[in-house]
Amino acid sequence: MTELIIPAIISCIVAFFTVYFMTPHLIKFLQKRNFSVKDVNKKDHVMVVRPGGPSIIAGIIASELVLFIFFQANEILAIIITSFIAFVIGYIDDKKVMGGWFKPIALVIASIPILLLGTHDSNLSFPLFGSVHIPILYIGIILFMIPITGNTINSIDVLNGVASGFMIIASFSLSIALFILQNYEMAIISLPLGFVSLAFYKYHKMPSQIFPGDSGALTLGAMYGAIAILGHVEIIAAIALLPAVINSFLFLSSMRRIVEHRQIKGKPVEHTEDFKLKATNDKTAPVTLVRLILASGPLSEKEVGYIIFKLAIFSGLLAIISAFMTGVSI
Amino acid sequence: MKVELFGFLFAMWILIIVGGGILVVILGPLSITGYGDFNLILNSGIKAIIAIILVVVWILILSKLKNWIFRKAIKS
Repeated sequence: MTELIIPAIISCIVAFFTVYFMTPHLIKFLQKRNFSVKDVNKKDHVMVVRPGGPSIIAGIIASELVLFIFFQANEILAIIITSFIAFVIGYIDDKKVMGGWFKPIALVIASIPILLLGTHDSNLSFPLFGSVHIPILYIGIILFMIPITGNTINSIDVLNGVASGFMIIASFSLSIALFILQNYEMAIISLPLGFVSLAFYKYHKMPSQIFPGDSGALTLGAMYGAIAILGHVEIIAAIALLPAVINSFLFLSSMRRIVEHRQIKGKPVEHTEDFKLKATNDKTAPVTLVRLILASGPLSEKEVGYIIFKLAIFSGLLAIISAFMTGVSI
Repeated sequence: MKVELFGFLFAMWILIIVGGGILVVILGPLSITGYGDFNLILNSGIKAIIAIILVVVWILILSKLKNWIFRKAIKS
């Protein structure tokens, strides 16, 4: 255990400071090229640059390469390649708006390195009840997991700081769960995700200086999914992600199809005169987590963000409790 | 609405734990033999069908729960 402490500290420092120092340069670079979009939740005409994906993937690759020097584990290579493929898919979508099916289908490719490197298991572990051996079915789970986690994080990237802030809470919860389950190596491999998100949050929090874009959100989500599979904590990872899962579930059950959010005509949220967010009565608009939060009355963007973080902390605690329950069998 | 959202999260968590239990109890001991090389494919196929049915049931319950919790909250 003690021999893992130094690699853990170095990789976390590398993850944090790569994103911390690279993002301001990326912001300047994107400003020069006018790669910006309107922040629709601001009263004045505020333009914010995107995508922040390049600094996020740089932080992930640099920190995981540090860990690879110490561990030489195929799991690290699988995480790097999976995250990078997700980044490329997101970057394509950032540059050219693709159809609603593009990201879920393309992200299946991102899960293939996990299979090819033989880093996966065939058991699915459940809290309290033990595990079930599903060799062929598990391959299907892997192919589904990365598109689901990638798109789920992407779908919650709707307000300033929410995607990165949510990822900080979910990924650290997952790391704690891995420590509880005594999967120390994977716990350390997972830590850079939290530190990358933490450094990016500094620039993404309200008022945002940069948006992660599809390349950033898909990268974070795909890495999270890869950690869940390689750490054999798929169910615990899903629990930590529940607020974002609810958002996707509400969206899909109201729209009844997979659709790119830019293609939706009905608006789930509008603004009051003092530019607070307010739920609409538009029946054609999707039901989303933000719309539900606003059902009881208008709130500022910051207040909505904090409610989402409280929900994330609650589900993170449920994930940690589930980790303790996984060690027990009835 | 905040309380209902936390309640919905908690309900989802309980459903995951219970659903996982059912999955382990049903799929865990399931083993088909006597078909030679096809044993693995048959086992996986049947397990996949049961798992998909359980997931569909899980989504339906969740959908009902969502309508019940949030309709009640929006009306009040």
